[in-house]
Amino acid sequence: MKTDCFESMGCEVVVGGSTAQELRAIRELFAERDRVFSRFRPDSELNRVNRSAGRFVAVSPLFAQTLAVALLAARETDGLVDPTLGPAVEAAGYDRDFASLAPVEEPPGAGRPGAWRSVLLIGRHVGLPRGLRLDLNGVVKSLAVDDALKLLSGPGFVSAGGDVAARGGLTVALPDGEAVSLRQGALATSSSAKRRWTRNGEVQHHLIDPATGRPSASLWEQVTACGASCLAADIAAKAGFLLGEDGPGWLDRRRIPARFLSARGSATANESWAVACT
Amino acid sequence: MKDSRLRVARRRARTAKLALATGGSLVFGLAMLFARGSYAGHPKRPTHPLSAPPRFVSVVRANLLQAGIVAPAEAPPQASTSGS
Repeated sequence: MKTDCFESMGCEVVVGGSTAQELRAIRELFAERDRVFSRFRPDSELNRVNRSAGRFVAVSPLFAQTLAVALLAARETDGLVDPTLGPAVEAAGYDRDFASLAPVEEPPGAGRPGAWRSVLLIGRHVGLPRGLRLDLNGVVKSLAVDDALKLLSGPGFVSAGGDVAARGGLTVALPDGEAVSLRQGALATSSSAKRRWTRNGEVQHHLIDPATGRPSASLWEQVTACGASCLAADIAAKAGFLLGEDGPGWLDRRRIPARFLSARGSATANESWAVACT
Repeated sequence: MKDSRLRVARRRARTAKLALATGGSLVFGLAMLFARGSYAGHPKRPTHPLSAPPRFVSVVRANLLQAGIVAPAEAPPQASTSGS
């Protein structure tokens, strides 16, 4: 299968099985999502909305739809996947494009717990309380992968930063070098191993525990989940990661196959994964 | 003779008043319909609550935490999943 790569939204996007026209459309789709949802572009719609905290502001249909999905994800995961953790990620030090992050002597800022219930979305109008800022990265990338896959006319796949959605089956390498056959849907991995940096010598990462507003102290380093869509896989992987030792059971109750890697490198599969892959 | 002319005149006046009232009401009603159909700020459809369409919400909720299907690998990997 022919594959093409490009950089967008701070990660590598890989597209397999596309025609030249489909690849152009996928590039444009990712570029548009980056323009609208980037935390690091002062002119992005996300930053315009965040600057308007304290009053209602009209947003584009794409923004409203994405925020609606993010709020539904928060509701379905009891707030584990929270779209209001922007200030917490910034307090931990992730306040610029990841490539330009350097070790800093200052200690991280105070934790900022999630507050998704205080976000108001009425039609195409968003209301944020003062001091609250949205960070929709938790769903934007996976939604972009799902939407990009729809642009392929035949079998193929789209992967962004390791979130893979496929049509027609695909063998996918897992973080520890194992491989699995993705028959239907998508695979996503949440990891504290890649996007990590130090603040005053203390290791920080971007997976924030919404209860404390600080980088999660989960016992897992990487969690891979298989969902019907990339969005489902991504939400499941994040929730599984943040729940720590309760993650495998929580995902089993939803029949979502998932595989967990600890910091020591030992792999644990939940029952759904074990049944499917033996 | 004079009485009968007066009666006729009164009847004609009553008929004229009735015709004017009917015509006026008709013109008013037609003007209302015209305004409803052509004035830009006039609501032309029943109003709906401002929220995401129920179908969108139900589709998203139904797919939000649905499982995909994995199986043991049978071929070399063509893609990889790794944390971002």
